[in-house]
Amino acid sequence: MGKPETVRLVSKEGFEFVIDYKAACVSNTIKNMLSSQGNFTETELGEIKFPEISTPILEKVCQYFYYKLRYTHCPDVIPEFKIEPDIALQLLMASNFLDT
Amino acid sequence: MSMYVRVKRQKQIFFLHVEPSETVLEIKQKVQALTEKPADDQRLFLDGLNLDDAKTLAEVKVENDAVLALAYKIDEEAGTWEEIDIHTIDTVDEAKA
Repeated sequence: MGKPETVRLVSKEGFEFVIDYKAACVSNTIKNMLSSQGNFTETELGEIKFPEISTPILEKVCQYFYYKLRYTHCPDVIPEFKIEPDIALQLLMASNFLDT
Repeated sequence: MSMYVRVKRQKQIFFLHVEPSETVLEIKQKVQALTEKPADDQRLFLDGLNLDDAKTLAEVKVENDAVLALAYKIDEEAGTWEEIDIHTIDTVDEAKA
């Protein structure tokens, strides 16, 4: 079912986030996973499991991918990317892992 | 200006690039490309409101980062549809915001 132009990211609770390949490549870790040589299941199915990232964190990460894509090279005023304080630490750990 | 919406159903969340000038039907066709579920068998909701196929996103006030709930048709003859089923964590987040 995986279309080449999209990537599925699966959270700890099994939620699937279907995002554009281009958006996923905001994360260097994901980009490397998807473009690495060899027959990894990740590369073939376009599905990556993150058993350590919970659903709200992964959703925030995906929102950030799109935010980043939209406002990179954007001449307009860039709005703030809102992060709720209670998820900040987990989000920091996820973004560190994803190299984002 | 390009924007995106989050289309949610059960344990799936689709992030879709959209334009305010696109119609609701065009969004359903994008979902169809990913799920192979015909656009006619889909319903999209914004805050519990069923969106009209012919309307554009600007008309129904769908903004960047909006969450749309997706429901499928269950039975063609009976004309029954799924209940809106999107994960609750997001609802919690919105309540806090």
